[in-house]
Amino acid sequence: MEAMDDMAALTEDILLQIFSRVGSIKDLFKFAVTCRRWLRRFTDPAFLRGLCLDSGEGHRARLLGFFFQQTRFYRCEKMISMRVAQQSSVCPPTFLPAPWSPLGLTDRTLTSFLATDDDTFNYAEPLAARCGIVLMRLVPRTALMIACSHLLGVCNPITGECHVLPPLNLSGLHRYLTSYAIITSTDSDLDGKQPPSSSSSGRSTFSQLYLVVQHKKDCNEYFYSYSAATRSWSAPTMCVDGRRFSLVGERSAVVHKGAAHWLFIDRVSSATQDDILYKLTAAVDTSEISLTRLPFGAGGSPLLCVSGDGKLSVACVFPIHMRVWTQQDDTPATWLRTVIRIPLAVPYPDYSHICQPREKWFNFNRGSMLVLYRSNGVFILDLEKKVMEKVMNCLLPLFSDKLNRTAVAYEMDLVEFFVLQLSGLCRGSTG
Amino acid sequence: MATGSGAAAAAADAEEKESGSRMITLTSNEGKAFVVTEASARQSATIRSMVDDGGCVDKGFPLPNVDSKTLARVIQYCDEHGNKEAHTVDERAALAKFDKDFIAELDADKAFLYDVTMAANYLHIQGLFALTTQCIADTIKGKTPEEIRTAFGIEYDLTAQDEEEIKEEDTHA
Repeated sequence: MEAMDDMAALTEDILLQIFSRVGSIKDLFKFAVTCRRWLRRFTDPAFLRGLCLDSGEGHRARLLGFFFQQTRFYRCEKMISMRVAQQSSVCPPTFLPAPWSPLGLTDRTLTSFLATDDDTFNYAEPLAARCGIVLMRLVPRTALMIACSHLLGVCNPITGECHVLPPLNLSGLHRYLTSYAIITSTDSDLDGKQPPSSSSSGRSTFSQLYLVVQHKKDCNEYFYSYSAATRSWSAPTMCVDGRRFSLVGERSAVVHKGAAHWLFIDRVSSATQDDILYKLTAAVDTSEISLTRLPFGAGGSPLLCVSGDGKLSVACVFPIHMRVWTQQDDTPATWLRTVIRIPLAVPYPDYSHICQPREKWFNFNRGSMLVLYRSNGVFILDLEKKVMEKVMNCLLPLFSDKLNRTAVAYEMDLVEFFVLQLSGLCRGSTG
Repeated sequence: MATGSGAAAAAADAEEKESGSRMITLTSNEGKAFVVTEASARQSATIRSMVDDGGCVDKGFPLPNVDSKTLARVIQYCDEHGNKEAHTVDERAALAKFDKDFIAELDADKAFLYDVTMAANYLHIQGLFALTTQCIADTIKGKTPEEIRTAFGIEYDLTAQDEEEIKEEDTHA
């Protein structure tokens, strides 16, 4: 038809502008399957990289934006009573898109991604995100529920998938949520070499949630796992002596080669000698838990990450340098040390006496780390190239925040996502 | 206002004042001449830079990529945004209403909408380009593939087997 040919006449630049203004991956999928020509276009990695405004192979294209909650309300009695009364103004988490993000140009609410009228996520605080899935703590509907349960929910703003977990009832005493891991359908794959065609949508499908919870009664850390398929929680397993060990680094696990990993520090020995690190590991297939002492002293702020060649690493961050220990494949007990000088991206601000500039490091894509750096902006440090690139301006609400709220980086390989989801169709239509 | 030294800024100011009454000729690819105020022409970053570089203001600007029908419509937008003030709330509301009516009319004729989009891109008229690309993007939003095909006049060329697979994928996504 004629009109179609006219749209085809628009240049690539213009088409990309239009598609990035749609602001919904779901709608773009629907557009992509209207005809063969668009299907081919939306499975062409070069075109898709343009859509994510990826200027090269950089890590930054993976960063779609940040989720954060503007209102601090967890354990805020007032907010709960407002919720119960159903008369409060709603306060869903806010999504702040990265400048090139195909998920929109300006701030939007998490609920604007979802097709549901349910108010569940209107009272939610984002905790972590992985492979497009966001984990949130939900505000209970009644004040009674606060003390005895952890109410959690996950959703994938790209696919619209939502899953509210049944409350983890820990009757009686307070329990503290120490850490968590979002597990997807493909995480049991040990080598990461599963052919993608067999699990086209599994990579971003929520399958399990792991929690490490501290029981106040005995101070120990307990491991809980939740299965999305059976909608049930496992019985708790004691995993860490809470009087001796404390979590360090991120609460959100690094999931690597079929297992979730967190870092703990031995407080007792730290008091007298060097910091000693332990790695808590939960295997996805067997739910087997182990605590292993790492053969090196810590220092700085330790953080788990994955190197560019896919090896588990611990980065100890100091003010001007970073010591990275990388586990060797053939001899897992061996960790090799490298030192990276953090490229001085911005000078310290002058007002540092009054307002201490904060740095907050996160594990990011393989071989890179994300940092909210010196009150100036969001940077990505490439551990291989040893360059630091500014990706976004300062997120003021994240820095001026004295309440220590979490800003959750939302990242995903959209190019891969589109290709995996649509390539089967494309093969079918050309055959 | 442009940055720069005080003197340069003052000179630019003076030029700007003078330019208010200056007329500029734009010529479509069919050779038809359109005379517009400089303020209107300055909506286009492409023309603005040529004028500022002291380019051929007297001879006019030939636009080999834009036809008369499209140029007339683009000028309609530039006149509204270049010649009118938008300082007060009322003035801004009037301009917003103009944009709304302008794009609603264009949206009825997709082929023409694409022409205007391409011209806005070529002439670097940021406001107009944002307006038209957003309009096309909005047409994609919240529709089923079938509705998108109808809206854009996309020819249906998928087989029943493709459809089957798409439905299957859709339940996963």
